[in-house]
Amino acid sequence: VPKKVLVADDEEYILDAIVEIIKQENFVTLTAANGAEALKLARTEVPDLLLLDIMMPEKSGFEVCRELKSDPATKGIYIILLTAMGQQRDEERGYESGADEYMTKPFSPRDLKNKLRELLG
Amino acid sequence: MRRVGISAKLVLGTACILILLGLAVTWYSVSQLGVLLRQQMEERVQAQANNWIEQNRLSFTLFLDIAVDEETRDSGAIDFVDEQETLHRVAEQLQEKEWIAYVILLDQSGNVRASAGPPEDLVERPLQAETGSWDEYRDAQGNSYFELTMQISASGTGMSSDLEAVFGASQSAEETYLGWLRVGVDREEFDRRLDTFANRNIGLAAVLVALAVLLSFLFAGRIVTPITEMGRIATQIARGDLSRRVKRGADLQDEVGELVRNFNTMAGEISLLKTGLEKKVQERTRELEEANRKLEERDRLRSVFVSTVSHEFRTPLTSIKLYAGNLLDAADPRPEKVRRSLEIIDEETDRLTRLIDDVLDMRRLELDVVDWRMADTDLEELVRKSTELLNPQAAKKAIELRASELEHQRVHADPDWIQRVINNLIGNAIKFSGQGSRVEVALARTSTAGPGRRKCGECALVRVADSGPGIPEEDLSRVFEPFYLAKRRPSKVAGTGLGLAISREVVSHHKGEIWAESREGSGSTFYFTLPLVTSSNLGEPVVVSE
Repeated sequence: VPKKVLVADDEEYILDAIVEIIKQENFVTLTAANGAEALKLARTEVPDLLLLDIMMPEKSGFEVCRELKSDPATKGIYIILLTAMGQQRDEERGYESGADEYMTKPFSPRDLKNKLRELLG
Repeated sequence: MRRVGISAKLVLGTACILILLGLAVTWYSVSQLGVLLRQQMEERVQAQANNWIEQNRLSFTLFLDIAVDEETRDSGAIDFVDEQETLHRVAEQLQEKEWIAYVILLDQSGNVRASAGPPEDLVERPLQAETGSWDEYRDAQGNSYFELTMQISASGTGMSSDLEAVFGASQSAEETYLGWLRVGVDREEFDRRLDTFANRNIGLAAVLVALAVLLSFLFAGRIVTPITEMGRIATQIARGDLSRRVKRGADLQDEVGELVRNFNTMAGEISLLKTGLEKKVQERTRELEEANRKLEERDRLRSVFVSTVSHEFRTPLTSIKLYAGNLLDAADPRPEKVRRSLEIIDEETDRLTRLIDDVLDMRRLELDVVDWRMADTDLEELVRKSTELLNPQAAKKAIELRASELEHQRVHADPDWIQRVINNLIGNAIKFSGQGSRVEVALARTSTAGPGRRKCGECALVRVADSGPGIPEEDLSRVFEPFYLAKRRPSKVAGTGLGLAISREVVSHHKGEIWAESREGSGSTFYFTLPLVTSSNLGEPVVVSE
């Protein structure tokens, strides 16, 4: 069974680039352009990994993370928060909301590939 | 007298004065009363005796004047018994009068001819006194008597003219007298009457004094009650109840009334003043709160602004880095020139990211919206981490990065920011040092800081010495200005130009000092100090500030 990765980001270019990277690694990709959509997809599809941007419309990454981690059905999803704010406090808020990991934008495709292989390979 | 109130003092004072006055007046009036009563009694007795003599002069003329010797009396030539009887009856008439206790009638020779009521032992006494004189006698029982001795004269207005004619009245009236009269007044009776008057007098005085004391008590109350109430109300006002006023005595037209009215006016003024003050304090507080809120809002907006700017810059940079990377990673082989271009795009993206981070951090420091996380920190640990982190970088240039003389130095600081300062200084040293040279890092304790080595209290000192080209004297103080070094560094040396500026801001926030020393051609040494956690400030709880 191929592993499923859900990517949630409101920036179309970034979303496309990340999808391409994941495809190269032969995982199934799902995409969401805002927080609410990400939450809905995560609940119906229950992916293995969720790459979650923080600053998104509808619902922030923190909120999505908190809701998924408090639901027994979805709390097993591995969540990596992606942030472009680059401040220590945001990182702490991320861990407080239950995120498993934290990646600061910008990152290189190689960084992401290494992470995917490490987690799902 | 400390526990005695004003009222008691006033009443006591008045009572003492009144009682003394009462005693004096009573004593004087009682003594005067004695004199008066004595005088009155004497006059009365004398008048009664005179009157009595006038009325009975005939009897005296007939019976008393006759000198009767023992023989004659005994011979029965004269009806002596009858005479005796008449004189006795006459004497009794006088004895019945007011004051008079006894009467003794004597003839010219001093023989007692008749008497009424005298104590036995006082009947027979030789005549000594002159007429009209008062003497005092005491009988065998010890009773005292005032006694008036009078001559009974033969002439007087009381005798009828026909009788005068009968008896011829040849002798002159002045020289002729018929006998003597002794009239006694019971001293006890006199004293009793005097006592009655005196008691009445004393009683009246006592009642008057009591009345006066009562009045003084009432007056004292009129004075003291408002004062007592004023004291009570003053206490309540002092406790903060400024609405209280003195009601008692406010209508009095005397000094107390004025005092009460002035007190109330004063209380009113204080109340007004306080409300005014409270209002002012409230206004100021509101203004301050508003200003504070505005400041907080400004800081929040600034912080949000910096975060947003960071986000807005990073988003396109993320796209650039991802697409360049994807192209680089694409399976189809690319011309070398394209590959190199993509690598430069990637590197420059990283550099731009660092620059943006530094610019925004600098901005945060300048705007003072940094989220400081102060903690008890061991500098030795931070220095060691930095050398470990930067060792690979040094190794690339075959630079010996030596961290010797490290001591544990505890400071109160934000470890992440101080780590950045140390990283920056060591990183710079590596950047500016030549291939195969040496960078030395030391950590010690000092009590002087700055280029002039001024006194600074107990501080930790971090020293980073390189063997680079050095910095010209005139640039030493300016290297901490933003982008200053950027103009002078070799083009190959990468950097944002903000590292030292950020370091200076961070160190100064920690109340430390940062400076550089250098001689051109023989390397530079960068120093910074941080106040040590000493026993005096160790007691304070280490607060992780927001």
